[in-house]
Amino acid sequence: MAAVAQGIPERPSLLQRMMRINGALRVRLNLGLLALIILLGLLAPVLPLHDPVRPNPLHRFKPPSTEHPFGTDGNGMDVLSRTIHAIRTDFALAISSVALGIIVGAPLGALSGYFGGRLDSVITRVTEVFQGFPQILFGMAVLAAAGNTMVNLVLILAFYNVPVYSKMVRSVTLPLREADFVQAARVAGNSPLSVVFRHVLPNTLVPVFSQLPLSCAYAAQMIAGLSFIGLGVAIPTPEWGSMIQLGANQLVFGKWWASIFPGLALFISVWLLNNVSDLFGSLVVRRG
Amino acid sequence: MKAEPAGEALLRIEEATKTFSLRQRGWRRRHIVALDGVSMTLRRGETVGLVGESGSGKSTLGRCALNLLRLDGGRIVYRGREIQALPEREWRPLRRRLQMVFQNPVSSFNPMMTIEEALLDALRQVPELDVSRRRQRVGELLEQVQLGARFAVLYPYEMSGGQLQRAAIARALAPEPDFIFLDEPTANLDMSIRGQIINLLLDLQRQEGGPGFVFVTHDLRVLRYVADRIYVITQGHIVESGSRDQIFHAPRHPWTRALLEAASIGRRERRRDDGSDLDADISLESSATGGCRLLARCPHARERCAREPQLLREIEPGQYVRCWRAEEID
Amino acid sequence: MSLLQIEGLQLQFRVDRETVYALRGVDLSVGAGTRTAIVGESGSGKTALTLSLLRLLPPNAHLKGSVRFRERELLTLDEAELRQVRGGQIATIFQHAQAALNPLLPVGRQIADVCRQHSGVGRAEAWERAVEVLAATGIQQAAARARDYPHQYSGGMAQRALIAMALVCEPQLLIADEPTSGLDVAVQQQVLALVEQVVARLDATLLLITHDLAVVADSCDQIIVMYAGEVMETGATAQVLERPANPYTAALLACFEQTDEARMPFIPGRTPDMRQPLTGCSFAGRCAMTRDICHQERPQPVEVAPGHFSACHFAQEVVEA
Ligand SMILES: Nc1ncnc2c1ncn2[C@@H]1O[C@H](COP(=O)(O)OP(=O)(O)OP(=O)(O)O)[C@@H](O)[C@H]1O
Ligand SMILES: Nc1ncnc2c1ncn2[C@@H]1O[C@H](COP(=O)(O)OP(=O)(O)O)[C@@H](O)[C@H]1O
Ligand code: SF4
Ligand code: SF4
Ligand SMILES: [Mg+2]
Ligand SMILES: [Mg+2]
Repeated sequence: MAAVAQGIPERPSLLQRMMRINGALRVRLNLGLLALIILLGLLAPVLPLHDPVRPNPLHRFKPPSTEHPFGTDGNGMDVLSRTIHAIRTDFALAISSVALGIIVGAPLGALSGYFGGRLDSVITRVTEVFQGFPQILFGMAVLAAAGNTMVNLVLILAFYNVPVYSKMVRSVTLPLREADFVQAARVAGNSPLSVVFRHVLPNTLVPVFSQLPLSCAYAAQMIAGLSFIGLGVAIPTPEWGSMIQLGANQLVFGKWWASIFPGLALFISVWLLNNVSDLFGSLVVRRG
Repeated sequence: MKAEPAGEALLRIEEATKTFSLRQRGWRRRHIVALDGVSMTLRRGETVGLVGESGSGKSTLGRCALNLLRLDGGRIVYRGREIQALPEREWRPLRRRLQMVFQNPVSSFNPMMTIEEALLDALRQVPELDVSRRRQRVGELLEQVQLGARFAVLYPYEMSGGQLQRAAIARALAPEPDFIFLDEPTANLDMSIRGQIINLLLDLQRQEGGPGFVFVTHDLRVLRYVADRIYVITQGHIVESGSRDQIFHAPRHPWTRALLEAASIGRRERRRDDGSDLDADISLESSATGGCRLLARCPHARERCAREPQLLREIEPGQYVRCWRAEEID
Repeated sequence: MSLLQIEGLQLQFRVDRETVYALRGVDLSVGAGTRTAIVGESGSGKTALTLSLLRLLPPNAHLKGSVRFRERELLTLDEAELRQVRGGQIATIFQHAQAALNPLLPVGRQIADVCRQHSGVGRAEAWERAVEVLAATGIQQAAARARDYPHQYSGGMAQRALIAMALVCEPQLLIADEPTSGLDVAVQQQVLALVEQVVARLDATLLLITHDLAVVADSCDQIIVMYAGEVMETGATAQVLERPANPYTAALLACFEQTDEARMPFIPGRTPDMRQPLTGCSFAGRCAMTRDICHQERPQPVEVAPGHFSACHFAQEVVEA
């Protein structure tokens, strides 16, 4: 009967299949542009750009020219180079904080929704308290107290994503708990934890996936916001928020380039992420 | 004809009671008595047919028998052990021995898993198979239910209703159970495949140490082939039980008669005669009249029916009826 | 006059690098006002056929051929026109009622949404209409039950809700895909009676998929027999059931005979692999009458009696047998 087992063909993984969403031109376009931006960030170190962190006191606030297409900022650093290098900082921070939020939040939500009872009340209460904190203020307080490091920044952002995802996953888990296939999974001998992690959780990822770009957009805004008020990412590191802030003082004097270009980059990224999120959501929902 | 099975009790359901309480708007709660003192015995290698209208509690009984739902009262005894009282550690090794084919084949498969993954999931309970043997077993099981290995890679939404129903049967067979609760396992199959699947189940059962089945079906033709004994359930109550021949040839309870009649005569004729006692919308909400539950819908009701709660009585060896008029009415 | 005219309909599903030939060139015509049954083996393409009519297909489906509904080609309509047809002129009751309803919305709300989409009435009016049709399908305390979620409905009630949903659309063609499988006999009869009632009231045409030939004999005047993505036989119900002209139909009918043996009757063998294109007859090999030509040439439908077609090289012999 070995021939029978060989008769079972292989199939590409779900991830591979998701990558070939049919017919969704707009998603592809948006995803493509987003990928381009990320690629640009990844390639930043090898692109023929000025050093993004070397100040040059002699070339402060130079307007755009062939030498410096986006001009230079108040420290004489090349705005083009910094805007592109900032992709790395902002995306890395946003993605890692969102990923951390999902990794912690989604299982919490699934456990809380599936088991209910006291576990559920505790998890729900705690996440509600989390969400109650005013975000920027809380961020300021923590960064001021624990030190203004990237790791702390990621933790703060993740902290806000945990309740978002745990709530979302919990609400999808509740109706799934009684679903026939979950009962069937129990009959198939899965332990309660394995039911949650192998059967329930994967089925809640649909809304999570569609929320993902939106969360990244939000995190990018938040990083920029914190950096703008001087927290978050410290100055020489290229980051859109701090760049906007540094340039903003000079905006009134007509030196627009130092903050407009990073602002534009931030705006476009957030916009693309939002688009992808919407379209992704509607696609995924239609398949389910 | 099937030989009379004379095995020991495999599964005993004793006085099973289950009430669902639904939250209504405001504070009110609605109570639905899905099972009300149901008792049933299944011997090894035996098939018990379970018939009753939808909402009568059949699936709920199955879920309780498989320990998926907690009973409010009563016991489920499998090979002498009360499974609902077992601690998780002792229950786990028994899990694979009690299987179920769910009523709705589409919703009983995880949409994120292929059929192979679903079957492998069930096969993890079989420690004696190593990983490569398991994959092979998947192919064998799919062959058995007339699907073939090529279906292994499909996702549930890529299959037809009948194909999924067969996959569901393969999944229940995978861990080599002693007991399968088959909840409408052939409803989505055409007659020719229905025959193949029923024959497969019967062949399995005839083997040494074959499993016992509780078989829920509305297809009386299938019931005639598979059932050794039949239980008739309505509103969470068993109203009649007996051997297949007793139920088919000498049904005593008015409800059983109505069921059999509904199935045997055509719809057009039935619509003309308006003594359609089966048609009334059935409500399971707990009513405390104390008399026979079927009072409102029974054409044979007498005044005494309203006063006395009806108990199961043995009126023939092996045939039990919940109606005091059972012997009189014809 | 035919309401629905299907020609050379081919449906393929691409599953990775393989192709599933779900419909292999279907030619059909359904007369206005008829009640037509589709019967056939599990996996033979009955659901696929009905989904194709409305192009309610997953993205991996590829459809070719022609479907004309009231002289209008459906396969070239754009999404907006199609929606008009779907909600308004053709309504479908799906195979698994419970699964066809959205578990997250109250049943009444789902019916009201369909109603609003179809007739553009306001929210409140749509709700009233939803309660009304639910009541019309025999659901007690419809106003209260409309607020319930699908999982609080029994299978029979869910099926009624779907019928109610079809009812608000006032369709000209009602497609019911195994509307009664898994329901008890009494509810089955109620649901079918309800479907018939709705069809009669709207003066609509019914396309009913079922495995129950008693139901077919009882409520349908035309029958279509499918096997492995092909139409094997069509004709008036009485004609086909009494004098089948196709060996598959005959074999299927034989499965309904009650025998005293310990095994149920069945058709030995298995449906051909749907991933292979076929050269000959799809039933070849399984058919007791198979001859060489059956493997080589695909049989074309022949008219064995007025309005009675069978796709078999030996159709004439089969009817005469
Ligand atoms: N999305 C899909 N992708 C790939 N194959 C599919 C898909 N949907 C259906 N199929 C295949 O198409 C064929 C026809 O399926 P269909 O659902 O029409 O069968 P059916 O006649 O309705 O059967 P049943 O009586 O069991 O419901 C089957 O072989 C099925 O596996
Ligand atoms: N999870 C549940 N919550 C509330 N009521 C339920 C639940 N499961 C079943 N019921 C109710 O219990 C009764 C029996 O249901 P079920 O066992 O599914 O009937 P059957 O299988 O005989 O059709 C029905 O009235 C049903 O609505
Ligand atoms: S006890 Fe009375 S009401 Fe109940 S089933 Fe018998 S005759 Fe009918
Ligand atoms: S064409 Fe040949 S194989 Fe096909 S049904 Fe007719 S006799 Fe049988
Ligand atoms: Mg049920
Ligand atoms: Mg189907």
